[in-house]
Amino acid sequence: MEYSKQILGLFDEPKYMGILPFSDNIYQAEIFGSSSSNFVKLYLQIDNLGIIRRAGYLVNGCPVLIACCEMMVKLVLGTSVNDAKVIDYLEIASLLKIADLKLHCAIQVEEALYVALTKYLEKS
Amino acid sequence: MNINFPIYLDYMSSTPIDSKVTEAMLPYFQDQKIFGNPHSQHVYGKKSMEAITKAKLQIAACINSTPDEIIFTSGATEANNLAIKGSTQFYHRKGKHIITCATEHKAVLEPIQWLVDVHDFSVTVIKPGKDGLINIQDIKNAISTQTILISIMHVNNEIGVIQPIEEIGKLAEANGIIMHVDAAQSIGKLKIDVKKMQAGLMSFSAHKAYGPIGIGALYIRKSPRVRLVECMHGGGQQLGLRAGTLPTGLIVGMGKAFELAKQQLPQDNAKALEFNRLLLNTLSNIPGIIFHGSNKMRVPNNINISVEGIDGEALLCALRRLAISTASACVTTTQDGSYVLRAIDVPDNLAKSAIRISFGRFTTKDEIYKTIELLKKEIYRLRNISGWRADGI
Repeated sequence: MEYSKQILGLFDEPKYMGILPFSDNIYQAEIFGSSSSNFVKLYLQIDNLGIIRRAGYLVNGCPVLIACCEMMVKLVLGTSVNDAKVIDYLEIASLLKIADLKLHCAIQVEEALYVALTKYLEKS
Repeated sequence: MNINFPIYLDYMSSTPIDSKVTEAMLPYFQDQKIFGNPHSQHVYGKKSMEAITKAKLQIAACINSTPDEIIFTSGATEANNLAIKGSTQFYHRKGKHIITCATEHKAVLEPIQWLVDVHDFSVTVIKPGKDGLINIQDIKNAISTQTILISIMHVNNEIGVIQPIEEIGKLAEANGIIMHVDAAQSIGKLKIDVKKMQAGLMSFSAHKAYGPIGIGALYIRKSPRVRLVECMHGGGQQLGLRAGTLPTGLIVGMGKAFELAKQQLPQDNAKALEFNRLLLNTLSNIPGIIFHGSNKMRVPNNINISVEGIDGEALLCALRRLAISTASACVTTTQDGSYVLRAIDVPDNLAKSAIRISFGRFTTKDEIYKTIELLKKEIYRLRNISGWRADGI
């Protein structure tokens, strides 16, 4: 499998992996992939103004999936929920130069983001 | 082009050519006097045939056969095809039942499947135990009056286990059934004695034993004689069993490689054992590593593991400074893991994350130490990303 420079860069040195400890303003999402061992767990800390202050993830999947998580967190950190809502798999895929066969990785990460943001929107 | 080559740990896929083999082959690609068609009657042809005769002697000495029991093919795949299709075409009036094993190479399983699909053969596919080894009783139970062929590999290419070929050979002989053995992985790792194993047919490959890619051989027993129908039709070369001009240079390479394999077997094995222990000492201390295949009946140069909590493709990518092999490539979401691992009941997620590390004659201790360091580092790093913990919390 050939990976783009962008994917390898984020896969080799991810900065944001890890859990955010449970608290009121942490919104969590868990999306499982094709097999039981494949998952993305996303944690977003969103303040009263709707700004994403901290973000973290755990992921078990291929290098593309790991890079997608890292890229998504990079994109949403410091942005408002409204801005984060418009981030989709195509944006992640084009930033990371993901091959068509691996688009499902970007979709899985978009789903995780959608679920976490929905949890926030439902609560606020 | 400046490529930083990774450490080569994929010896079960192919081995580098030994320089002594290259040396032996080179004249046949350079010298203007020994290029002749070995089947020609003039001196150019005779020179080539002399070289082939010598190579046959070298191979025969390595496997304890006679030189006239060896037929050259393009590799073990062709040898397997010739053995399976050729023998069943000849003996089909005696019966149309074949016995094989679920962990065989595709070059055995596919021709057999073809016989089932196209020529109305029936097949019993033996399921090996969780250690990858065949229970001899299962073969006994599968034998019927219709059985004409048992095809079992000697050393498994993925998990490195050694099947009880001698026992199967005895059983086949007692029942008047031909045993075909795919021994592509055996040369240079185990002593091969076709007589002791009572094999009727045995397939070999040169490039798994420090010889060139593109040449292999099939051992066809003379006494009691095993007969085949040819699969490659043409000029009637090689007793009419496999037509086509023999590639003198490649055959010389195979002969030399097999001669070296026999000579260097003790040193090669001692080295493989040492490296095996070094790797196992480290890997067995890391929690959540599952070793595939019997830990006793196996060749020392192969380690097949799954690492819990890490995706196989991620592990392979993290280990890209090592040239190793994996069953996993999640190209589509439905990609299955290795069929060999599934056949020995390795759960799907672990089968998908399995990696095979295989080393050999030219692997250095320094490379093994580097491999150990990299494995430790990357397993720890990726498990941090997936949040995996040995206690499962």
